[in-house]
Amino acid sequence: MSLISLIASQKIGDDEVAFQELVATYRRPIYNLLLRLSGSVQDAEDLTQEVFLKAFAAYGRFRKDSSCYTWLYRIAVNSFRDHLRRKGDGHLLLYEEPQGGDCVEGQLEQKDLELTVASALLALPIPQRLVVVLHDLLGFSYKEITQIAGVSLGTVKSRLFYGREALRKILSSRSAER
Amino acid sequence: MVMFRNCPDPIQLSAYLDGELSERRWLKIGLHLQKCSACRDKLAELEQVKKLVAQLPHRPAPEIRITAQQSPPKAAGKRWLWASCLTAAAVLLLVFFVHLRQPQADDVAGEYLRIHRQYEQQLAESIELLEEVEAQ
Repeated sequence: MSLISLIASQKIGDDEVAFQELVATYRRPIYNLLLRLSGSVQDAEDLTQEVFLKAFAAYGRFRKDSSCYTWLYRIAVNSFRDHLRRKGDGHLLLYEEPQGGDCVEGQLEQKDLELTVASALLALPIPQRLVVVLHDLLGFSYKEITQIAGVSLGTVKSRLFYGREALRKILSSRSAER
Repeated sequence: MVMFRNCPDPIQLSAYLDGELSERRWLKIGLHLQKCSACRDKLAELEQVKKLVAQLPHRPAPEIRITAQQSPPKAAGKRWLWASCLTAAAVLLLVFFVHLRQPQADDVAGEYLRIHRQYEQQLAESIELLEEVEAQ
């Protein structure tokens, strides 16, 4: 049963439309955040389900909050942290390329670049990876990141710089290897 | 490459790139960048990395599915709330009735006084009876 039909069957009422909109708007960015954080398509899919399940359970408390979207991303970040704890510290993150159709030659280069950048992201420490993905991929402001990651503005600034700097070094060393 | 002693902290350069500085600081760094090629190079490096991450494609998300068994929802939360309220009300009622059945301090004192007076009256009657017997 899909979430929307579940809502319809349970007649949750006024929240129905708002929650449908929430899912429609944030499903994709939440999934991409989790994909770039975890590097695993399967984990990102499972975690996205988990995020919206948690959001669904707690929706009544937050629906009137104008910053509902930061709350949703906080759930995503916490779910990812829980996931890492469940997997254990020794869990090695390897980037899995999402299954796509056949590539024409021009796209191969683009795919190769994506694979390189996505793998380099996974080599970053998680706090830096989180800030880089939230800012550079999803376009959040520093202030929004403080709310999502639960850290100060100074920490966001420094993690972003050190994350970019580390990425630059990883990418330079990988291009030198070729 | 021209370098200056008063080059800004690279963390500030990164924030400059994102437009996340106060206007005053932003202008100051902008002026510095006009003179300092080392900082311009650093800024260009950071910008390149930022662009590479931004170019990562946004993959389509999976369908969101939540089964009725999984949903913890509101109904469960409300049932729990109702059960808690009913338990609290039952405890309060019990305390209230137990309290009513307990003799109060004033009631105990009154009872003792009544018994005491009854005893005094019986004693007086006994003395009277004794005096009458002695008189006979």
